[in-house]
Amino acid sequence: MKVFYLPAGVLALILACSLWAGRFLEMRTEHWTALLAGVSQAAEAEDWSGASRALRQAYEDWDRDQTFLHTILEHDALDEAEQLFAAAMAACRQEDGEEALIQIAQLTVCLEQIAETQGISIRNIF
Amino acid sequence: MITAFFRTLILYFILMTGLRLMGKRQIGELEPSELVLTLIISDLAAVPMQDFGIPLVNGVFPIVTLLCVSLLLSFFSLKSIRFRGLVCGHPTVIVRDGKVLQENMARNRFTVDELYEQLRSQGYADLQSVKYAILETSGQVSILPYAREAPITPKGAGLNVPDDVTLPVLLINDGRIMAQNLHGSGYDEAWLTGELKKRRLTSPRQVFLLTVDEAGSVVCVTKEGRQ
Repeated sequence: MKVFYLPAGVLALILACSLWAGRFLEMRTEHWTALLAGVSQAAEAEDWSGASRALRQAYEDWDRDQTFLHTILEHDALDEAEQLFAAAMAACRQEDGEEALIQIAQLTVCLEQIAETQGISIRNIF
Repeated sequence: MITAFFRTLILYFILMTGLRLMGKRQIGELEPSELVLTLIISDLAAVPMQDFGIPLVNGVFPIVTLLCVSLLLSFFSLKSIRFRGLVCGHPTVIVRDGKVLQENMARNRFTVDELYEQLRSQGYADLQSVKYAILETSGQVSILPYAREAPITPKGAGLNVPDDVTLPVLLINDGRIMAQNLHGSGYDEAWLTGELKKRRLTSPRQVFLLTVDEAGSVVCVTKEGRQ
């Protein structure tokens, strides 16, 4: 029965790892988007030091997971998010409210799309 | 990752079904499941190797998934004859009593040209010599001739021939002593040295190939251009 249990076990493990990675990314994305929502609120209120602080915190949080993210995601998607973080930080530094809100909105969508690629759904599979 | 997992499974089964529907003649010597595995794995391994933007796990997970699925298919094939038939197909008789079974040929998309090619390659000039031709699941054709056309065997001729077929064991391979084979055959280094001395050889390094069979018969090929 080893002939059966070994491949079946490995398959189950791969499935479990894949599901866990999808769920983990979804939770992390919820966390990052919540932080970015705080950045947007601060930018709308023209609290630029608060916005920059919240954005830096979101970026550091995102940066901590980079090793893991690079092992499961295509690097192009991560590079795009990285560029959007940089653009949003620049807009906050320049205290350009409109630009900052646009960049943060794009970044939020980008992060949600990244997480969505790892979710289990018919749309992804086909 | 989960997308890669499900896509791998879907693509594997699509390819498997496609190959089964194509018929056996497309397969060659591999079983359908082995061929699918070979086709996909080579591609899966190449993509993350060449594109550094793609994580390695995107290649590794599908490959491991495929190997596991393949092992499971083999397991179920061993356990169930029906399942084996579904995965590997069944041998098909395409010639019976010298008569071509056209329906079976058509079902497997096997042409008359291919049938004759197989007959010729196995030494039969025409269908009159063939009692059965069977298209195996591997795509090979097994030909069973009429008894009158079959090569004469000692048994067929009523001869009592002593069984002198023995299995040669490799003891020296390109100058290296195969110690496990040597001891497994019941010999030792001293015996080997004696055999070399008989042939005026001083070292195993001078030997390209040395075998001994169960009857103790030694075959020695020295290296070309040895001093």
